[in-house]
Amino acid sequence: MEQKQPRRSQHRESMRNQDANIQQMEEALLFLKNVKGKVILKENHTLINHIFAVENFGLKHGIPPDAINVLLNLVLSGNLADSLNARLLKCLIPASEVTQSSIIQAVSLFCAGKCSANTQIMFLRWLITVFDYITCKDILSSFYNFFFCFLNYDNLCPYLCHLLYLLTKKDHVRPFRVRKLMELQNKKGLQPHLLGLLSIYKIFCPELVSLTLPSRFKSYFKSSHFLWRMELREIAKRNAGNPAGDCRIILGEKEQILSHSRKRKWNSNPLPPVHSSIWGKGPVLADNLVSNEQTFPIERLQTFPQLLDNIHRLELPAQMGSVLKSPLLLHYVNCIKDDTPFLRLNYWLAFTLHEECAWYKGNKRSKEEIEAFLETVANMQQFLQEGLYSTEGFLYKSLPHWNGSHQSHILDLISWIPMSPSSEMEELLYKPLAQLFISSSVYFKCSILESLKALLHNWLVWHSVSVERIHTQSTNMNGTMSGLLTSVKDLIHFIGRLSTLGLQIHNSNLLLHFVLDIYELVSDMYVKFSLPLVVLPPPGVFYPALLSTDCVNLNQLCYIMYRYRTNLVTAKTNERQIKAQMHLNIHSHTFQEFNKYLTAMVGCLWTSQAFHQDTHPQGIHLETHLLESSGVSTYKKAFNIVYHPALIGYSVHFYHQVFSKDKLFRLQSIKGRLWNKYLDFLYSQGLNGLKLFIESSVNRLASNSQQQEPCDLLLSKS
Amino acid sequence: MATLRPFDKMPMLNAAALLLVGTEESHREQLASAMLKEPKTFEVKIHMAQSLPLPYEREHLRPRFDMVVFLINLHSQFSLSTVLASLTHLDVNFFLGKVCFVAIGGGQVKHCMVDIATVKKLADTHLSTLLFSEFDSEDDVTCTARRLLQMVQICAGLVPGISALYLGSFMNSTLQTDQF
Amino acid sequence: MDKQDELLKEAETLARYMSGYQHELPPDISKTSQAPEEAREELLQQCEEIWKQMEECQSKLTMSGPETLPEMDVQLYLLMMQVKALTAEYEQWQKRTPEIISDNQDVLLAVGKEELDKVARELEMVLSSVQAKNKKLKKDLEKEQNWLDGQQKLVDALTSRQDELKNQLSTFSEKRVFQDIANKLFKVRAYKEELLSALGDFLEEHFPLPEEQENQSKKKKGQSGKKTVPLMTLHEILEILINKLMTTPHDPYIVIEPHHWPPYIEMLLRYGIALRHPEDPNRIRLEAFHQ
Repeated sequence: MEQKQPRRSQHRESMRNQDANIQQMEEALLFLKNVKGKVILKENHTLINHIFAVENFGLKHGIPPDAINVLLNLVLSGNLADSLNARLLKCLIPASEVTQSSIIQAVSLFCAGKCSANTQIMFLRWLITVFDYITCKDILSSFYNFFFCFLNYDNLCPYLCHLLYLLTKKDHVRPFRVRKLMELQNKKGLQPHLLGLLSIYKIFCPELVSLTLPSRFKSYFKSSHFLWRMELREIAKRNAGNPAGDCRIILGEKEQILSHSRKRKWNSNPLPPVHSSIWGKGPVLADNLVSNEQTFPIERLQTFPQLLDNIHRLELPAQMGSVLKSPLLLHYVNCIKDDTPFLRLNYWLAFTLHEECAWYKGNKRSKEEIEAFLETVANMQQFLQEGLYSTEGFLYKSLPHWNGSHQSHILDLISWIPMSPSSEMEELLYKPLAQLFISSSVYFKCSILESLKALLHNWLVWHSVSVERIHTQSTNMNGTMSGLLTSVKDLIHFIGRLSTLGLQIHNSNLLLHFVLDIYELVSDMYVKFSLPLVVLPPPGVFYPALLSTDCVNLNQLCYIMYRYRTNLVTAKTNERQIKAQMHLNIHSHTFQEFNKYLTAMVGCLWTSQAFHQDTHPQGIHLETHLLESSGVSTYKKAFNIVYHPALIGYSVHFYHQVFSKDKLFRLQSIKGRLWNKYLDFLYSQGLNGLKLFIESSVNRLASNSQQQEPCDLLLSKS
Repeated sequence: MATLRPFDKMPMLNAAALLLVGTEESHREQLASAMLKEPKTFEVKIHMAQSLPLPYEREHLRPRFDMVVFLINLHSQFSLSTVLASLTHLDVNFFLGKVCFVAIGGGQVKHCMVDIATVKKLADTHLSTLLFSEFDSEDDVTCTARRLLQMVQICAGLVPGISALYLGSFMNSTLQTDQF
Repeated sequence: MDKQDELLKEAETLARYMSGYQHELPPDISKTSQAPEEAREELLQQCEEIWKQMEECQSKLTMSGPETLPEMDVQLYLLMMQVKALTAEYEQWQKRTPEIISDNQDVLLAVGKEELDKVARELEMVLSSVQAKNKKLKKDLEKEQNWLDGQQKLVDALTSRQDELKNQLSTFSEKRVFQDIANKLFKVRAYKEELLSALGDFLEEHFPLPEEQENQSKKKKGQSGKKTVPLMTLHEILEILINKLMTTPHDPYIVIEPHHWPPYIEMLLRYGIALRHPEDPNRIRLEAFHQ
């Protein structure tokens, strides 16, 4: 209690209020505990007052576990009127956890059907809402069949489906249950909640569910099933004493015991005893008899050595969200082959992202909270080296609404989108992104391109890993290969279009820098990632870079063209040597295009012939009269590494180094022997890309003349 | 009943003029002030109207509009029908890239009186851009304002070599990947 | 020529700055001392001409009347218009040839300076973005190294665990395995017994035979000509159902007989424990829970 002096009296005041509240609550509980038999609502002021006290306390502090027990029993006994039951359930916000015995009693009362259908519905909604706070999910899970039997009741069905969706494990998916659900489905038509339940069945056992389900991004359950969310979170936060965290996503940080000594009685459990809640591994029997191993409780897992010692007997917590922030558990998740944790994680994440991070839905979560969570998710994906389909779904839903809020976080997530068929990507990613791109500032454009580069990089890494796998397993994957090539190619073309447009709009060296950064990756796909694909930059990227006014980009372009050359040459040699080990997907057109670019470059940097020689239809060929009208008399010799706008600063500098001040300033004198010296000077200034390009593509040994033909144009495939 | 035309007056130097049309005054104000707050390299003139046609009497005071933005409040059917009626008072040449629809409040599905698919179709039919925005979030309004400023800059011809028409057609062509 | 020199000198300083890659601010490119009058005049003249051209175009545009949306096929109409406009724009671009900015040296100098100024600013941004990127890469590298380290340790731990298990396996004698299985079998049997007796107890307690009620209702009704059949307990019914399913899986149905008390049968059917034969309502089977 490190409050300052002036606030102390205020504090004492609130403590006093709290004491009064607690006392009222105690009295109310005592009264309600003793309710036996039907109670009439009318004119029953004591009852109303007590209920009011409970509501008051519950919404403020949450209800402690023992009181939950009492209240649930009362509500489900059917002794009170429906309206009162609803009011009680609505304020039944757990202060900490919900205990096993409360659940057992409540569910048995629920099954006995003493209360009305409306109260039963309210109870189910309550269960769904507090699901994450129930520590003993294996108990709930063992009630699976009871809940399942109630599916026949039309009015309970939507809520039961939601609850069962949350509970379902692979063991629960049995043919007889599938039959029952299909029968219901046939009887009642396409109900979203039944589809939702069937969808998780299908995920677990695709062979049992033959139904084709609609789009995977559909939401099956109404969020109105929840009684409260904000309140629950508020109270959880307050009681955990941690304003920043959502208790469901923190593991191993539960040592914060409440500081208010008076409140202890109500919250004797330090909050929230995150997960000993381990899902029983199927029937108890099999577990006990077949494996003699003891499981290692997750909450005791604190250090890496512990993880190493116990990795074979860990079980993941039911609240998969807690995995997010724990590097230890992420390591574990990374190792296991079982899909189930991923399914749970995806379900949880999809829901949480949609409900809490969809900023456009008018959620009242603060920007910081959303961004902190998105960052956690991005870090987790980076750790797992994999994009999850829940984040993908979230992005696809959100992108049309995205105007740029949480910019860097959303872009981070975009770079982990898993590869999908192009048609899907076009509709869901490229289209909204292009729309955003055209109406964004140059800086935003740079960030978008950077994230697309990361996306491409992730795809390429993913591919190169799977290629290794193919080689070791020697399976033929030609089919997937062509799909992959198309996807990669389409992404690069999309990037090319965006880049062209961006450079047209902004004429910015910064943007060009980001664009060339991507092509550095693209140019090396064949050699570095063994992807049999070479895609050249479009002319809208190549020419601006070639005529760029700064040496950084020009140097980068030289490096890129050098890498393209290396890749094409390697591809050609490989093709000759090992016939079609990998079907080479490089079109002869690519070679032709490359040669055109090469001609233009050599003309620009070496022979001063760029404006005459360029044959590219979108190139920089200029009519002689135009060149003459510029007033530059020596135009035929005036565009090379000496005069190029990006390099002219260097040539002047060099000139002054070589010649004395008095000499008449004539850059034309840089030729012959000096030309070579000038080149060395340029190389010494860190223009390595230029060096690599000139040394590989311009044959200088033949003579010392600067008027040389570009040497070895790559032969195009006939 | 004058039809609003894109090139009926001479442009202003280094400036762009924008017309915001929509039934909710608060939305118009919010968006306009967000746009004016943004730093920019050109001047922006923003005019607002509840619907088209514009009254005749103040015609001479108006600049040449480079872009018309229709604000549709998805929580009100009236808002949509007003916009629909206004469209008929716009010269067709505006639809060559100088019209933008902003649909407001699509996130809160339960309050929506207008289907999102309806506005999507509206924008598609008129070959115009559709933005979604939430006006109860200041952040989102600012972001929307930035996007509109980028668009109006191009519509006003302040970006050499890029026309609104070209930009509009770019959207459709992103989907073709016929490049060898 | 000296105008050009000035420009070149600044380009040079810029290049030096770049090659140095230092962290100081780039040199200020001195603003041209007020462009000479004639250059300004010339530019203004050009602007006037362009403005005049625009006015001409504009007056031409006003001549053509306004055109509003058609009633039908709006999209098609607009698309046709778009095609026309795009074609026109395309032709316009095709016709256009590059233009020389100006012959005036002063103007060129000013343009060049502006360009250099812009390049300097942009390069500064590039520099800072590269620095930021480097920082991030370093951080990422560190992260990934930690990750790799962890994964490597995990692999080692798992491998050694595998070896351990293998060793255990090789020391397993056949006899011990049999012993083990027998043990397990025994436990499973015991567990099954336990379950069955628990089920039996449960059924006995909660599903007694309806003797008393039966008698009472009979008394109420006065008389019944029917002979009372000794009823079967729910326990027995279930046992029959289970046995039938297990012994003859191809024909798991039993026929409902008078000694099966209808309410119990109803209950079994209602809760999905038993199923009716699709064609013969008199036959039921146990739901195939074991599949």
